[in-house]
Amino acid sequence: MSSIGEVVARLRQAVERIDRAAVSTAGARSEAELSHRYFVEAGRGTADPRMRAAITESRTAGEKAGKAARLLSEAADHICAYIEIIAPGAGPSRDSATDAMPDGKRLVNEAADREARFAKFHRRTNQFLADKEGDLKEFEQLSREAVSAFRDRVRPGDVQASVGTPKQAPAQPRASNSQHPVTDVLLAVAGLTLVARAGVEKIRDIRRRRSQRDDESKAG
Amino acid sequence: MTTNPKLVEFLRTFVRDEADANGRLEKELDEEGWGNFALLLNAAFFLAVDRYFDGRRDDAAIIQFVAGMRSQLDVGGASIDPAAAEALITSVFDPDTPLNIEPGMMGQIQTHALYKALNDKPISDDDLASLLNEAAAIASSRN
Repeated sequence: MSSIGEVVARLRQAVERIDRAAVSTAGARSEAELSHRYFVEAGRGTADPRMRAAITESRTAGEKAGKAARLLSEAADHICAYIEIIAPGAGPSRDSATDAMPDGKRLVNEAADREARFAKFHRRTNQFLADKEGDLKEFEQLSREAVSAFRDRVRPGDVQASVGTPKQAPAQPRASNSQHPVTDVLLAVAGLTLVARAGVEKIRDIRRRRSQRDDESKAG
Repeated sequence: MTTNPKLVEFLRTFVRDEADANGRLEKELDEEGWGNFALLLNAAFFLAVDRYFDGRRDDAAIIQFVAGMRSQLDVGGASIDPAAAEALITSVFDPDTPLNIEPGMMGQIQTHALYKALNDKPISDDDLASLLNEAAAIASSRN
């Protein structure tokens, strides 16, 4: 990280990501609320504890998702305020009512953009492969070899065992498969903390140099 | 051509490091045929990379991603052409990016990138299933 400009750029990216997370979380709230209504309707006339639990938990999920969406928006606001401190005027323009909750049109536009990109990507890559002599066979072969190599790493095969290679644990420990979207947000915030710290370090560095310069000019 | 669900499961077990199941599926697919595997991988690659980079082109992040992909491989990382890998990933966001790459290298890069993109930015079981199902639907509809 070499300049305030880069720090600001990273922070602005973070703001955009958090805004998008806020939108997804708001969507989760709507889904949970809708599920809750369905469960209430379906659960009429039954006292089965499982149905009662579904009704209670879907309501709690809706409330918590709503709170998470609000907290994410507030986090984005705080970062914008921080950007204004380290680089006045460089913060993304924010109308909290619209930016924190981008409208459906933007989501539709993003989806349409991805659709268009994908159609073109798919057309081009397939045409590219078809134009090559090896058509898709070579592509498939090398892909399968790559998968096979990963498999050997996870589960060392007979060849390695026969030359006395000790059994290895999976080489890449991974986070739980049941990763919750909120964990992604936490990771993003952790990354953000590092970026913010880098920004603070940068400011300290600038101050240190300034004070050194002042000292030198006084000494001179 | 409809996508054989075993192809989808082959990619899922690969991403999840389920080596035994993956090896078993490979044997079964050898007997049944690999059908539209290349189209499925191509689609899954697009969706996984798009997800990893939040749908936005970021050249510095792409360079870092490719460097990480090459250095994390126990064997064969150096054989991956970084320029080809960067171009292929960039083409997800800018489909006009020139591709100067051999089909075999393309298959290799897409496979490694799929694994890395879905493990470095962890994906839930449900989201992984829906990503691969979306790829399967596309692979079924476009050939």
